Amino acid sequence: MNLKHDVVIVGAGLAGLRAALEAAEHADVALLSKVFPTRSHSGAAQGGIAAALGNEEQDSWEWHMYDTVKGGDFLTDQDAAEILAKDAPRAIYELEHMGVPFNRTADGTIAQRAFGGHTRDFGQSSIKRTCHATDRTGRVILDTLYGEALRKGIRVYAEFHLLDLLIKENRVVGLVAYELATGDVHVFHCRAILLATGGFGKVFKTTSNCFANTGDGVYLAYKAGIPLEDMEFVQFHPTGIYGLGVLISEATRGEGGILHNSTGDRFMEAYAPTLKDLAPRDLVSRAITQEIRAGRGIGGRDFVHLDLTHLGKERLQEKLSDISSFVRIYLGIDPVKEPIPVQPTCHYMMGGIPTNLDGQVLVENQDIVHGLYAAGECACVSVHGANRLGCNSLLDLVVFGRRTGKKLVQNLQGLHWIPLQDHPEERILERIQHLKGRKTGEKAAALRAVMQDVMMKYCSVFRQEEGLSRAREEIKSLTDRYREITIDNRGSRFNTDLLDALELESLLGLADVILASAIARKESRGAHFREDYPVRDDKNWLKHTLAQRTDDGPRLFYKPVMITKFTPKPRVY
Amino acid sequence: MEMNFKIFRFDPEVERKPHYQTYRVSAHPTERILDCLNRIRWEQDGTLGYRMSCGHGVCGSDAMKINGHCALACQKLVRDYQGQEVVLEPLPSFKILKDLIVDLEPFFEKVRLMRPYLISSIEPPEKERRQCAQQIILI
Repeated sequence: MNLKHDVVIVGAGLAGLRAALEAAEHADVALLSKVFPTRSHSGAAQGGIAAALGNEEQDSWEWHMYDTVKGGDFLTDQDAAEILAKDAPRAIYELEHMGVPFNRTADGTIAQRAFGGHTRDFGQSSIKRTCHATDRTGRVILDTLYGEALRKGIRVYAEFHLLDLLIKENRVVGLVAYELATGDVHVFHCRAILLATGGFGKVFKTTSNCFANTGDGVYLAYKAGIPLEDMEFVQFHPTGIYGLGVLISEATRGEGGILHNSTGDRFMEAYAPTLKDLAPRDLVSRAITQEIRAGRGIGGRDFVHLDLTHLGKERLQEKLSDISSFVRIYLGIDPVKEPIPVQPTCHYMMGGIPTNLDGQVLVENQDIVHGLYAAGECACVSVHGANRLGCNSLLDLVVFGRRTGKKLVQNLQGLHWIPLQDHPEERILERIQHLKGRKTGEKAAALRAVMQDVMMKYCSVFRQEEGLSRAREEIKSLTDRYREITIDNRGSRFNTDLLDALELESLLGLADVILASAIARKESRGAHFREDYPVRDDKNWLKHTLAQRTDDGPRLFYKPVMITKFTPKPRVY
Repeated sequence: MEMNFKIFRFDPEVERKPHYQTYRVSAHPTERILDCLNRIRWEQDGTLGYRMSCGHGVCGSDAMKINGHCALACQKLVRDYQGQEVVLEPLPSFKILKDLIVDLEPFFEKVRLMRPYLISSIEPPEKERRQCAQQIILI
């Protein structure tokens, strides 16, 4: 069936919803989502959202901007970081006015707590900048924005999967989507598309990401010829539940939690003398991995302890209740009495679809694709540079989601309907028929498991040339094998077997771009640490990677970093 | 350990009556029931229908009946069911669309009818509204 809307927003997490609220008053907006909107992965965000409100102690947007730039190891575009930090207080008050139930201080203002890499006076000491609703901040903001979307009557297509972007001569024509409930393939004719499809942590074995985070939007943009930016920068959050990868918020350390190794040492003191356990995530993840490598994991195994026992039952209940429950359920441990076994878990993609400050998708030389926008984790503004700070992600979603929605509305008058070609869904139908038609072959899940192991082993916290090259060969061979896969389910209704197979193409494609970008960057910066090039090299590598699809694999080129206020200097905490 | 699952199967488009199908899965005691379901779908039977997303009890997608009790498959562990057969059925009182997947439209319609947003006749202040601890507890 052909459907028609002025604007189609793909992804109903915070970025998509916030942009939709902006655009819905001026245009016919449809929200497309793989899951029901309130089940989007923004809802899993725990610790909070940063803003220099100064409710707990003196703060300034300049300090916040500096922390964001330094946290990103100076790869952050500083004009974007300035917008983020300056607009943050307004964004928080806006959310509060919509009804987000933030925790409060004794005098009734929004309470704030410490978080990794957020400091006072340009790095002097840790600062309380994080607004939060216990440890379910993402959950309550997602529910609140969804409520607002209901108020505005925004049309939602839930359990629809994006399968193709229709772009003609650098202009958006529409998209093709798969309806999970029926198996029908729909063509959406539109004047503008906003991609807000989130991250793709499912490239890795151990991840805090949900099953839906397969990067379909990012991969389809890549396939359409849009170069992907800074894909080598993958954030590993230091504290995933051992073995499972489920996130234990940095708020645990913001509230005073401490990391210990097998000898009982508070080892972060040696790696980050000033901020200690509240150093940025890339640093803490490397420290944990180094402790484990040196044989100081607990019991000689591959995890360390996160100790919250000294915080007391009441504080855990009041400030960290969800994660206390996760620990009880998955580990059978009471965090009031016992330390929590943790290890780094793939958490966030700094890279993605390149955009300008207003969410317009860029190709080469800052040229835009008319009618195509991106916001949130799938986009690369680049406001997080080589390593995102905790609590800057929710902020990014509402700040740049809103900006993108505004720009889209402004531009809409000049975005005309481009006629659809005959049967633009044909390519997708053929692909589905092909998958359903093959009788023998390997299953997608088996190949996916190998890919996740390979990426974890060679492309996680520490990397080096030989391992990365081997991983690339493995991904190439998996991509060849992928062409011969088979599925069990040939039905049309709720065929998740088919979707698993379709999603794997995105994951394999993105894994290859991550690897190619990581092999090329011969330095260590933020989350990209090369053991064979352990030092940051500003002379040669203070630049953004761009990877464009060609038949022979990604073509890499580079663009400069926007530096306005802060000159790069050594990054110590 | 080896686990036996008895799972409700029904495709109303092609079947007149539901049936149960049994599967055997090897799993660690600390794995989630959701991990077992995934193993069944990924390794044994790709036709099995159920929803899932976050995998740790935040999104609510994998709500179902587990041995008669409504629960999230990602929040129940294999060790909770040691030595028992695990019976998985769709949530009660919803229309069944396929296997463990139910029609949630009536549920979301009720959410809509609730008008789940702040309705206020007072212009918001420049900064946040003040709230004391007692008021928060009431929310």
